[in-house]
Amino acid sequence: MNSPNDVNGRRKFLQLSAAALASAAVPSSVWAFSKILPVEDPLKSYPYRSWEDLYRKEWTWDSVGFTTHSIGCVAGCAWNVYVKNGIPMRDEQVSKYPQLPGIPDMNPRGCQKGAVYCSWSKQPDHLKYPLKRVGARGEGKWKRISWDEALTEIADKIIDTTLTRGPGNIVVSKRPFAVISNTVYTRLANLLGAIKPDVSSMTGDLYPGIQTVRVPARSVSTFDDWFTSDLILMWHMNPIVTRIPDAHFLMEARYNGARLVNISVDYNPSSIHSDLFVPVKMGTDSHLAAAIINVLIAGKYYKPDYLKEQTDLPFLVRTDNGKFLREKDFKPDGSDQVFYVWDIKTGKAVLAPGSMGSKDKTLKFGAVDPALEGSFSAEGVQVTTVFERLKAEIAPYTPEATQATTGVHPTVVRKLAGWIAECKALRILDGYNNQKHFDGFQCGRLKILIITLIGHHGTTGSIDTTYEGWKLEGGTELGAVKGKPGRSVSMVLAQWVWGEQYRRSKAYYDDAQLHEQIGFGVDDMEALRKESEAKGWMPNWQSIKDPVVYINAGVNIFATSNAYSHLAENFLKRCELLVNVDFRMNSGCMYSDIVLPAAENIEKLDIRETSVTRFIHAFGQPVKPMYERKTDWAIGVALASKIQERARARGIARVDDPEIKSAIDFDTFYDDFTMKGAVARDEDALRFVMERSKALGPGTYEEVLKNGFAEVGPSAGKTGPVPKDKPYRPFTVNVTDKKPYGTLTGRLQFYVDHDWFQRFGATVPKPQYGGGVVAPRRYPFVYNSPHTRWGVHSFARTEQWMLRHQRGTPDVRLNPEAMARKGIKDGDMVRVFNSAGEFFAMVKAWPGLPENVVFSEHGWEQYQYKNRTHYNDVGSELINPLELVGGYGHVKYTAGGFNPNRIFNETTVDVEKT
Amino acid sequence: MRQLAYVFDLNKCIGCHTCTMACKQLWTNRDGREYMYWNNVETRPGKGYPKNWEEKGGGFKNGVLQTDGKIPLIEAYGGVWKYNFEAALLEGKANQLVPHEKPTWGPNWDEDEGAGQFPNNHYFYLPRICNHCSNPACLAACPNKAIYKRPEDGLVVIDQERCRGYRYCVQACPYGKVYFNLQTQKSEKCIGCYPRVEKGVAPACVTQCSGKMRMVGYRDDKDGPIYKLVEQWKVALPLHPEHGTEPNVFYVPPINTTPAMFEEDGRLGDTPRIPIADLEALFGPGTRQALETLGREIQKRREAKPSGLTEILIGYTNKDRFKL
Repeated sequence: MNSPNDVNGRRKFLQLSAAALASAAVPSSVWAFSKILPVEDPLKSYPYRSWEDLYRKEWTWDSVGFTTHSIGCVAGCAWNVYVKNGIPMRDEQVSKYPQLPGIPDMNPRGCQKGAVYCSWSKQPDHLKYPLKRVGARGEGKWKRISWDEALTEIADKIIDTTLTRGPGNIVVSKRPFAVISNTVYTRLANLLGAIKPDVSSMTGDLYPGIQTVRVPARSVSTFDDWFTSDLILMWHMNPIVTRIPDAHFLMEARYNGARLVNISVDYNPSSIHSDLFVPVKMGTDSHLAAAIINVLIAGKYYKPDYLKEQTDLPFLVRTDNGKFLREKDFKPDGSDQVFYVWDIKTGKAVLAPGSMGSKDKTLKFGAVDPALEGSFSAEGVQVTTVFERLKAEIAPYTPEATQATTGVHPTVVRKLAGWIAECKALRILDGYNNQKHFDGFQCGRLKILIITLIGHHGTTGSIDTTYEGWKLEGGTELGAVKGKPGRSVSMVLAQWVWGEQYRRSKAYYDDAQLHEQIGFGVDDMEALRKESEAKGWMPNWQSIKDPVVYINAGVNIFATSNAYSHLAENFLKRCELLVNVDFRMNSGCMYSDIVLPAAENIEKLDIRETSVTRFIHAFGQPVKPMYERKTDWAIGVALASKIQERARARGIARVDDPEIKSAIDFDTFYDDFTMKGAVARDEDALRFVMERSKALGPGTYEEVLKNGFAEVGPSAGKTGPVPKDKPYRPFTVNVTDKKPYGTLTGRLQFYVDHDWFQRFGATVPKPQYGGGVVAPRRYPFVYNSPHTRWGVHSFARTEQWMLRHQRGTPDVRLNPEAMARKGIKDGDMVRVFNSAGEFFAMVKAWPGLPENVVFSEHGWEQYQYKNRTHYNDVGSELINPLELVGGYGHVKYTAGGFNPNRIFNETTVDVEKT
Repeated sequence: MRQLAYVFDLNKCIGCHTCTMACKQLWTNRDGREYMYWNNVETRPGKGYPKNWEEKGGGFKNGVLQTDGKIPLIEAYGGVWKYNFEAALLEGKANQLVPHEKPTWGPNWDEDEGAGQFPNNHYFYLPRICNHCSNPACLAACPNKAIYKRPEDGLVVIDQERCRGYRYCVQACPYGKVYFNLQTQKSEKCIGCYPRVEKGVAPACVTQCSGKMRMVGYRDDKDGPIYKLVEQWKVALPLHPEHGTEPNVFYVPPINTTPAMFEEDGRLGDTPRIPIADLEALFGPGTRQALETLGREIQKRREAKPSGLTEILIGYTNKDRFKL
């Protein structure tokens, strides 16, 4: 042990800063004579203050520009970047957002990752030049090549693959955040007829359960609306960790009288400022939700008038076959998308307006008073209501009966349900972690049912499902190409096939246990997947195409999956050219054949359209791309140009693509990509997007570059207008204007009579099975890998100031009692393992965990682990068949809306000291 | 002398460390200051930064400067790890990205640990800067009289030309908030961002606080949030007042009764989650009264009655929180 007084310590210390010696803060100036003159009382006065300029000079700069860092984050924050001698030195929030009346403002927005961005961008893992692999894939040996060499190789391979293997053996995936960086790859993929994976389900960020209730499932208030709530449930969301720029609204709401409730497996940082912590056992949240609903129904805390109008709960269901009573049941030419309610006044079944097949586009029943409860005979057909079905199915889930499953005492459930029943403005912060559990599908439906039963959905409250983007028609227009739709796929299914996940899941999961718990096994999932594809419910490109050329921009397709190493190994067998475009060498890039250096956040001209604030944010290019980096748009344009050039040189023109009734026009590729040069430059593309979007329009391009942010107009909201003087809240027009929802029934829909929903006992929201993690019981720990405070996914995970604030190396957290049992101490290196895989990490003791949980925050790079293992190497895939369904009104394959979501949280492991 | 002062509301601190990184990028990411966190955030209960600083000694006892304070060991500040990026990612010479030394301690090593057993454990965040004390032990300890209080704002600064690097100040500060720069051979510390304050701009750790939990202003400004919270409502308290340095950073203590703890059978109990004695040990005898006031005023809002206190603590805009 050394101290700065100690000679050895001093030497050690000096080594650390030796590189910086030359630029010492204090010039080795000669001592001014005055400095040795006496000072009388420095508490009162001090005569020699000229030295103070030393620090004043450190707070100086040559220029300031704007940026945001929201490329993996849903926040969106305006930052100033201070530039000195051409070098970006420091990020500081702009902090000039206007205040809405009576609501705390959003100043300053940001987090610690944004605050160190300039520093991070200078690290050696940030790319400078195009690189070509010279060693084995993943070995990390590269040679620098020119842009021309790189693009020529890629263009030729694209053309060759299309000619020899046919169209559709090219995949383009991208990070769907900054508008231009996102859209450039959509446009490229569409022109190429390429496969376009849904990256939302790939990362486990879909809400397929809630998508059956409302469209879109993913919709939020602007987060300043939290302040208007008097009860806030943080459920599968840890906003103090993951929503740093907006977390203050929670504490401010609390000072304003709101109660905060955190429902979580662990005593996470969002628990510490809450009024009630509900420690639910992992994977049993659907049972807790059912118990809450049970109390709300039993106590008649629901709002009948609201439910009759806004939901399908009064809709009639046949008792003989469990199907909705449909118009076609009575009239041969009747619609199968028009439904009935029972009119109390006339004692008859009458057609409900507002459904997909209805001509009446309103929720208004007029003179009809629909029965919420009861059983009836409609022209001889025995029927009941959805609400009756729901009541019957929820009846067994009392707080007392669910205690053994959830671990939550009935008095706690009743206290919480009581708060819900009496509150005036309920908000549920519903994070992405729900749907990463097997029962997340049903749990999502149950959670939205809670806020619906008490009549707060679209009125005083909201279930905030993480994020939605503002509606920007210009962005859609820039990505779309007439007659060239590309090939959208579920990435979970694509990786299931290309990564041979079925084989792995079969080996890991205990088939008998799966049958016992959920009623079917991995073989059934595979058969159901094939059946879904055969029926045309889910796209089948993964079954008939290969990712021969894979262009991946800004995401790590292995890290966002289960089974990192297994997936990479099997996927790469099918891939002949893997190109990664990124601003840094992430561990997915390590497997590339070619790496292209994209512009940093502070080097690009773009906007971010996340809807958690009423503002869009500028990537205002405070510095131009350094080294040989190019902006994503410039990369797209350069590749398009090279494809056209090579095609013309090789005499190749159009290649027909009959599978999607399209064609690939190689010889006019650049002309098509740039709209004959109209959007050849970054500025052209950005102006195109902004000026053609109703919510922005002419003048906003200048505005966003002048201020770092710009307020969106009313039409930006996907489910209703953005008001000028108060926070945006979704789905309010359905209540105020009686506008039908985008569902089959036109209402918030809680009954799905699809054959498969009937087959799996899931017509109404209720737990899909007995609860708990479905992974093999032979391992003592369940595994949880949620989001981290210290990164946004992998963003900033290699940043050195961030690493110094953690353990300097990936850690894994364990409960201290569990550690004692295993003979493990804080700081020990351990192996976390099961039959599917392993990884190595440093143990951090965390009393906030129950004894049976192993906790690893996600986002670490594979190369940060010993032996290139990875925190996902212990995971295996599962598919919930309810998410394979299609052909049912709004319940159908939708990229970013409905397809199998990645299930991460059904893993068990053991731990041993290494 | 005017005195600039701060209020940090621990009920709003979310432990995001944006303050720390703001300070780091502005002042201490270079030139021998790398190991220093003029601003740090630590989990309480915990060992803090530098490790075990509460045991280092210093300050005053009965008005007498204590001279037995310790200079923290380098290890207590934690590693400034550097990584083999080139070898691991670009040259194929290493299989793993690793720090240059085995990490054994860092400025935030015991993050979120706290005390107690699940589900009855507890922790909270304590951000710390130089307290810019009215009676600074560092100033009293400097034999060279190179430390002074700026009369216009009361910020405590170390004259980087006059300092001889004796480190008596490092020894004397009971908060571990003076650091020795081995490169320049001078002691350095938080300067209260005086170059900004002089221009009417609040310190970086304050303006960049995403939790909006920091307020800054002059103690004698009766219209400002500092006076109101410290003198009027008495909900903002100095940290470890027993050291006699008269800190000018005041903390609103964390509400200690919620979320409710659980009885053995899973019912809610009524024992406070954070023992009041632990908070009194940090913030002194005013703690109980402060928490009662807070609880009373929040309850008013639950009953939809007005509260002057919660309006201040909500701190709607920058203008409400920063008054320079």
